[in-house]
Amino acid sequence: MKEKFPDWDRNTRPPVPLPPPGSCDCQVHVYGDQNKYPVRWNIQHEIPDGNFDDARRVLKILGFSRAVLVHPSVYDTDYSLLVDLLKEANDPTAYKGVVVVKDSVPDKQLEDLAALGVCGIRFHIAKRYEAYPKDAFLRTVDRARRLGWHIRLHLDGPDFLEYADVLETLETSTSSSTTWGASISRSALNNRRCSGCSRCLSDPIGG
Amino acid sequence: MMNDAEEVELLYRYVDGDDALLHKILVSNPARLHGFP
Repeated sequence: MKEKFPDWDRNTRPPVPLPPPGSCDCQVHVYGDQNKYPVRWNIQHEIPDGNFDDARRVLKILGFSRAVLVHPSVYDTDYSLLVDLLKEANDPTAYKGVVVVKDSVPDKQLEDLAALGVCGIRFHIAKRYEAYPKDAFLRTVDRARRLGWHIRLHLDGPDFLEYADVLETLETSTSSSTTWGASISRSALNNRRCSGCSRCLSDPIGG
Repeated sequence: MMNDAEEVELLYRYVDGDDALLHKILVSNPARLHGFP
């Protein structure tokens, strides 16, 4: 039986005070009609009921004028939902995208995604996800570098240690055109592991 | 049940009234990382 996705208060209120103008929610997941956007990857939880209208309404109430739409891993490399959302939003000053990439995704497709506002690659590196070989990781990081994209890592603690040797090489091999940093999402604030991220939050993002 | 406004207010507690840090977290760092104008 799949894990039920936690529900949330759908009648949220503005925070007190409102966040500063230009505030960005860096991790927004939007799900679509499963008939039109079928799940491509075996997932551990039910698909939540959260569409783009829901997201935009909540962002407006909370005072966030920008958002990064992180394509849910359940769609794997089928980007059709994200493409449709970015086209619908049609506002690159307010919406950007982040995707999962595999070797099978052609460079032309990534360039097309970049034109819509996609600006980063997300990696799921944990035993509960599909295995991501280190050599594939480094190839994909290189693709991000060529596009001028950032990378974001979704890691569990033990897997972070297992990948430490690879992650340590990134700083020395990274050119000025690549950045990677810690962007904290609202949903991550409740995660105790984030309590140690205060240094990441205050350090400047560099390349 | 999660309340989004409370999560934002939790961040305010984390930065302990440091408006410059809050701006960096919510505005300038995301803008730089994602290429917002």
